Amino acid sequence: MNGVAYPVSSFDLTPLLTFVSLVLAAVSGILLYIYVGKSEEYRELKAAYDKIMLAFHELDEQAKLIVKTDLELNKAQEELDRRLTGLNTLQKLARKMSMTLDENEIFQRIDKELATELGFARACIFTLNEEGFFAARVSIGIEQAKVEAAVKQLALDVNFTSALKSGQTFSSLNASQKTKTLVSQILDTEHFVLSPLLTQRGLAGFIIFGNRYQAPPVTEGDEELIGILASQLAQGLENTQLFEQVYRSSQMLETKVNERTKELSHALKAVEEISKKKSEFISAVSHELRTPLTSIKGYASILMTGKVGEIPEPVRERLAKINTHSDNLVKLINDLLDISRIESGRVEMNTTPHQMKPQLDTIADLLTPQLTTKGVNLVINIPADTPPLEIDTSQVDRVFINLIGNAIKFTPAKGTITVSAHTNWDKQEVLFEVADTGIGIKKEDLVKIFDEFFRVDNEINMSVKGTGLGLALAKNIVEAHYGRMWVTSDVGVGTTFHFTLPLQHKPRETKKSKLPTMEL
Amino acid sequence: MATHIGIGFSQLSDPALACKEAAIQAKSQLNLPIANVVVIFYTDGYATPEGLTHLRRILQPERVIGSVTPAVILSERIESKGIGILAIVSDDIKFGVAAIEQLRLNPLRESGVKLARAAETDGKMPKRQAFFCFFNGSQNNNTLFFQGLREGLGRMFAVAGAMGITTGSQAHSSQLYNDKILPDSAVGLLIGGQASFSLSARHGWQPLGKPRIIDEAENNVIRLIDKKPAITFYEDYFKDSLPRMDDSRPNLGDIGLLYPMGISTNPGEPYLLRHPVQVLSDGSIVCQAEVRTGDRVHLMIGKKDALRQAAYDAAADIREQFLSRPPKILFIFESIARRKVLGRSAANEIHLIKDVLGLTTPVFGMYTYGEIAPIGSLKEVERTQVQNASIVLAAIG
Repeated sequence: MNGVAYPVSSFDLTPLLTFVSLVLAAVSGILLYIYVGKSEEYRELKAAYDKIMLAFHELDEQAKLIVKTDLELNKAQEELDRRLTGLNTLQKLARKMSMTLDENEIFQRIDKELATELGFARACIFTLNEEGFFAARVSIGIEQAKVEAAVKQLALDVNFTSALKSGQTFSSLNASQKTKTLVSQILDTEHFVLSPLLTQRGLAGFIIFGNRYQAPPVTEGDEELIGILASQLAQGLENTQLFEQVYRSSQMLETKVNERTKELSHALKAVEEISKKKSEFISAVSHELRTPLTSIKGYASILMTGKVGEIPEPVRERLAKINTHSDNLVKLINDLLDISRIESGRVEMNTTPHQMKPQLDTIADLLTPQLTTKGVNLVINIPADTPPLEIDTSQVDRVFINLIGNAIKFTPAKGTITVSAHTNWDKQEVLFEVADTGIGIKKEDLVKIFDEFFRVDNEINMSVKGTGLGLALAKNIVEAHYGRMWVTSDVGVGTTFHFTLPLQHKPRETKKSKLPTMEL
Repeated sequence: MATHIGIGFSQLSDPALACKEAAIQAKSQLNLPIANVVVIFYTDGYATPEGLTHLRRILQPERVIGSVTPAVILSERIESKGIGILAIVSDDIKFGVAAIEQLRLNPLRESGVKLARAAETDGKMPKRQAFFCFFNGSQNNNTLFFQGLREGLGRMFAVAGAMGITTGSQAHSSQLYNDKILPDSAVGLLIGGQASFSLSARHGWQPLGKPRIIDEAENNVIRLIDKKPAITFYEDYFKDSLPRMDDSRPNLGDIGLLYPMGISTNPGEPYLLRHPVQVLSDGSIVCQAEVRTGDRVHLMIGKKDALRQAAYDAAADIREQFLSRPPKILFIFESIARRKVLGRSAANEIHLIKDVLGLTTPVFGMYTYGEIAPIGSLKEVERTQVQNASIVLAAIG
């Protein structure tokens, strides 16, 4: 500037001020606009943020529910796993127990490992002894002295014993406070399960499994598992006891059988000895008797021929009687000898095949005089298809002669004797029957009819002499042919003798001598 | 000679005889006089000096390594009681073993470094492939130990580990190193040579509920979550279901196993799981590895199907890495939490894995209370972490 001074009062500032005001207003407006916009954005952001936080909060609340449910599921899963593991353990135990019938071995299977697998640190098993007191058989995790003292105290507690007798499993979950305190004090086991051992005979003992207070409490699942274990044990004990009884009985039986067998064996030997001696006696006596009889008969015969001199008639009659009686005696001796030899197996049947019909016809002819004298009818009823039998003809003839002869003796006049045969192809034998319409035999005599020397007590036997050996001999001959003989009878109706002869004779193993007869 | 594997297992009540029986079984499959290495997994009480004497006489191993476990995983089943022995003889695979004792008394990071270097010294192999580690890790900040291993082995080196504890308490931990039974220790097995190696880990747990923020954490202790004591995280979800200890502190026990905390490290990446192993008087939660302030945490829930799928995915990963050739031996280190969820069907998981990798694949493993593995597969080896609730598959071919 050129140094010219202009006084202030001479300038107009209004336009400048107006301009500045306008600018300020514009800036303020802009700033206000920006502020309002940002506030809006801020509010929106805050609202969104609050929404998110609310969502998070809700999410978190749901998460808490999820966690709670999950925790319960995990607990349930853990309990399930425990039960499954426990059941698996019990199944393995059952298999081991089934492999033994020894009581001590069963208890040895209950060990610390088993208790641990079931989730317990302590266990005791008590059984009732013969005196009716509980005795500890297994003790795990508890001192022996404590166990022995415990059982005495427990047995005195009425609540405890009545709970046992109820047969129910109980535990620290549901036992009375008194029982809980008692068990806790004496066995140092706050959490426990107790189960009785029940057999068919009643209470046999009890088992108790438990843990100290630091462990988790027992559950219903634990009660079930211990209950199952108690059942298994009781079953095992019962099986061992039954086995023991059966074993002892069978031992006793075996001992008795052995003793009786020995006795019978001795008796049999004695009987055989007696029988042998009897046969030998009979044989010896018979032989001794034959010699003098031979002389008696011989001399009687010579005298009867008159070669020694004329015999008066009365003497001749008496000599005839001597002859007859000698013959009878000879027959008796021969029969005795036959029986003796057949019984002792010293006789072999000489068997050849024979048709029975012709043989019986021959026998019928032989007996015709007796039949005619008595007035008895003989019927031979042998079917044509009866096969030939391998028999010793002479011996079998004796059987028929004896049976038919007896029938003639005991059948009154006009009676009938029937001889019949039936072939049983299945059994490969022929059944013969000699049936009469005679006087019959009493029941009590039937059992003895085949005994040696036995004669039925009746009028006919009293009047007719006999040795009582005929039926015994006949039976022996049939049995020597591997047949059987038996009799049926009705008093006043008649008697039937039955005997069988096999179609084929089975020879004996040992060679025997031919049956000698005395020929006089 | 290729690679020979022998596996034996026994449950005899006498631990020494059980070890003997298992050694004989392993020997009968091996059919060779000397084993290059023997790996033993055993349940509580099954490691005894007499047993190790039998083992040495029967298998004549050059190296022995082992760990206690709640259960042993075998080719066909899982056993909660007994001793399992794996014997390996190989021209292709090289081994080195080492041990660090008194883990609690020494700085963990240093122990990790020493263990790694001692195993390398023992192995002296030109080509290292992987490192297995079994250790007592309960209530320790095992991240430090793992960092030490990494420092000794290299950041990109494959590490698989398992915490050998039986009941979650340090009192029931032990490891085996040659003829020694070591409580409170860490043992390591370095594997190398010409063999192929593959590693994969998955967990299958899913996040539940809203995310929370870890406001304060110090090493392996979480102090505040959402500005409240850390225990409120569980108390919010479980309220009265939380059992209490004698001093009325919550006992997280099984709940902590079934519902671990899932730490979200980076969006899109798998959750890192942490079991709470202890609750402090101020409500802080102690974990087994580091947790960072600022990380998000979810409650995690495990369903059987998801867990099985995770095992399947891990096996498929191995198969892909092995180009469908069956491995010679498959190691499984699996969290005990997974066994709790899977229950009786846990053994089916082995069959599922073998369906993928080959029905004749020999399997040998253990259940653990904590694992070390990459989250994912060997491709993500740099993401190897100490973790929980997972299944780790390590295959050697």
